[in-house]
Amino acid sequence: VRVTCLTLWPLHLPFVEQFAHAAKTRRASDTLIFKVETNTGFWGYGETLVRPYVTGESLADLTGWLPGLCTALGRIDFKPLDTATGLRDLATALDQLLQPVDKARPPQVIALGGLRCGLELAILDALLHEAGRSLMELLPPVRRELSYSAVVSAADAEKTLKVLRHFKQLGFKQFKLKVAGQSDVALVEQARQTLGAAASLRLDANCAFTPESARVFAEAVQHLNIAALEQPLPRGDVEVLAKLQAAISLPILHDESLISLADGQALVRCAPPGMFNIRLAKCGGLWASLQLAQLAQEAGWPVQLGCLVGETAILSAVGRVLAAHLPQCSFVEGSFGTLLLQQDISRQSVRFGFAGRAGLLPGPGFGIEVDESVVRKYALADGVRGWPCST
Amino acid sequence: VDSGGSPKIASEPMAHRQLFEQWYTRLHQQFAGHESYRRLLDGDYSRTEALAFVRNLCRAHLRSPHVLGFLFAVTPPRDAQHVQDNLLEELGYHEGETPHPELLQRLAQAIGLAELDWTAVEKGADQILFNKIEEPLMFGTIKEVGLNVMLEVVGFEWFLARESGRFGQAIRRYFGVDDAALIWFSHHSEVDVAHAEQGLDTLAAYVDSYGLDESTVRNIGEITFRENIYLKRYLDLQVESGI
Repeated sequence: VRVTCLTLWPLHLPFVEQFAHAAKTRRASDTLIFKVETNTGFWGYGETLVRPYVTGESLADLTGWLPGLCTALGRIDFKPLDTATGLRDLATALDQLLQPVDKARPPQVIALGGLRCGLELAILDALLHEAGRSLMELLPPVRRELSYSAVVSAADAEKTLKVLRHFKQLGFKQFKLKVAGQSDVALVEQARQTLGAAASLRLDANCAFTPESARVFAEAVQHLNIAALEQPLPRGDVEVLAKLQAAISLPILHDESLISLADGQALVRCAPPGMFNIRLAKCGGLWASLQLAQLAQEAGWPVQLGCLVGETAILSAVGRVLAAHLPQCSFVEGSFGTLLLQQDISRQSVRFGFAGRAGLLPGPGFGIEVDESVVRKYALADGVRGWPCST
Repeated sequence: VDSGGSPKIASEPMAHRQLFEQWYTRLHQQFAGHESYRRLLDGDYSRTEALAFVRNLCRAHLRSPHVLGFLFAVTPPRDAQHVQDNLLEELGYHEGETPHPELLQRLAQAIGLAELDWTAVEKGADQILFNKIEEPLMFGTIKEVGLNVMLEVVGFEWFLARESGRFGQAIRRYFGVDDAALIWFSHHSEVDVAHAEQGLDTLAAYVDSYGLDESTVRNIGEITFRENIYLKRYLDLQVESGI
C-alpha cells in the first residue's frame, strides 16, 4: 500500500467558551487534520496539535517539512496491517521517514511529536480501513467503559467554583483544577469543600511554579487529599524535579517534562515515583504513547491519558481506545466534543455523557466517520495544503 | 447591576419562579441590546443576512411539536395541562388552527422556498433533534433532562411573547410579505404574555412535583443558559450569558 497524496487542514474551530490555563487562553481549536489517500483507493484521517511551548513545533515547521517528507512517503510500501505487528511496522517506517527531519530539527524543537502523531494516525486509519479492521483489534480493551475527568479552565474563584458545581451536578467523580500560585490555596480549599471529601481532585500548574514555591504550595494543600500535582515546574533538569518530588508528599504528574521516551526513561531512573501524563499529540502518536505507557507500567507508575485543548473526534476516538487498553490508566481526559467545540468533525458523537462516562468505539478504523465537509468548513482558507506523494 | 449592564443574578435561595424570570430577563436584555439584533430591527441587514435570520428561526422552531411531545411525556400529569395545550396548538389540533410548522412553511413560501433553501432548513431542524437524541445524556435522570428542556422551551415562549411582534415587523420590512405569511409571529407575540406566564407556573410546578432542590435547579439552569440561547438560535452568535 502506498500513499499517493497528503492533505493538511489547519482548523480554526471556535469553542463554546474560552479555555485558559497558566500558559495560554484559547477561544478556538487550532487543531490540524491530516488526510492520506492510497493507491488502493482508501484514505485515512489523522489529527495533531502543535504547541511551540510544549514540543517546540509550530505549524510553519510542519508545512516546511511536509513537502520533502511526502516525496519520501510515497516511496514507502506499507504492508497490509497485521494485528500483532501492525503498529510496530508502521512505527519503524515512520522512524526511517522522519530521521532526516529529526536530525536537522532546529534547537527549539524538542521532538517531532506533533508531526509524527498526525502522520501516524492518518496512515494507520487508512491501513485499518484497507484491512477492514478496528483499532480496538490492535489494542484490545481491558475495560468496556471509561470515566473522563472534569477539567476546569482557569478563571476567577467565583466562576471556577460555579463550573465545579456544574460538573458535580453532571455526575463527575474526578476533577482537575488549574492553579498558578500560592494565592490559589484558598481556591483549592473551596474546591474541596464544594466537591466533598470523596471526589478525586488533582491540580495542574502548567509550569507556573519555582521549586521553592511549588514545595510551599504542595505543603499548603496536602491536607486536602490531592491526587496529583501536574507539571509544577517548567520543563528542565530532571534532578530538580526529583528533588521536588522527594520533598513533597503529592505525586507529581509529569506533562511538559514527558515528551519523548528518553524523557520518560530519565524520570523513571532519577525521580521518586510519580505519574505520567501521556498525550497523543505531545508524545508522538500511538506507538510512542504505548512505549511510554509500557515504561510506566514496568516502573509501577500510574498513567493519565491526557489531551491537548481543542482535540476533535479523531484524537478523542484514538485516546478512547488507548485509555481502554492501558491497565494502569488512572485518569482520562478529553472527549469534550461539543461541550467545548462549536461543532465536532465526526458524524457520530464521541463526547462523554453523565459522570464523564463513555463507551468503546468498535467500528472500523478509529470507530468514527469523519465528516469532511465540517473539516472544510472550519479550515483556514489560506492554510490548506496538499502534496502529491511520488511513487 | 453588573458591569455588563444586566441585572445581577442573586445567588441566595429564592422562589424558583422568580429565579426563572431573572434568567429570562437577563437573556432577553442581552439579546435585545445586541448590536446585531439592533441592525436587524433598524433595517440594516443585507438580504442575505435577513434570509439567514429567517432560516435560523424556522430551523429553531420547525420541530417544536416533537420537543413538546417529549416534555408532555416527562411532566407530571397534574402539571402537564399547559404543555398539552401548547402541544395541541403547535399541532393545529383545534378546528380552524393550522399546525405551526405549516405556518413557518407558509412564511418560507412567501419569501421563496428556493431562496430560503427550505430543504436545508428541514434537514437542520432534524439534525438538532437527532443530536439531542444521539448524544450521551449529560444528566443523571430524565427528570433533570426534562428540566433542562423545559427551561429552554418556556424560555423561548417567554422571549417570543416579547419579541416575535418585532421579528414579524422586521421580516415584513425586508421581504414585503403580507399578514398571512406572518401568522406564526402573531401567535407568539405580545398578546401571548399570559401564555408565557403559565409556562413559568408549569416550570415551578415541575420543580416542586419532582422535589428538585434549589442547588440542582440553579445548576441545571446555569448549564442550560451558559450561552445566550436566543442569540445562538436566531442570530448564529456564540455569546456567554453570564448566568
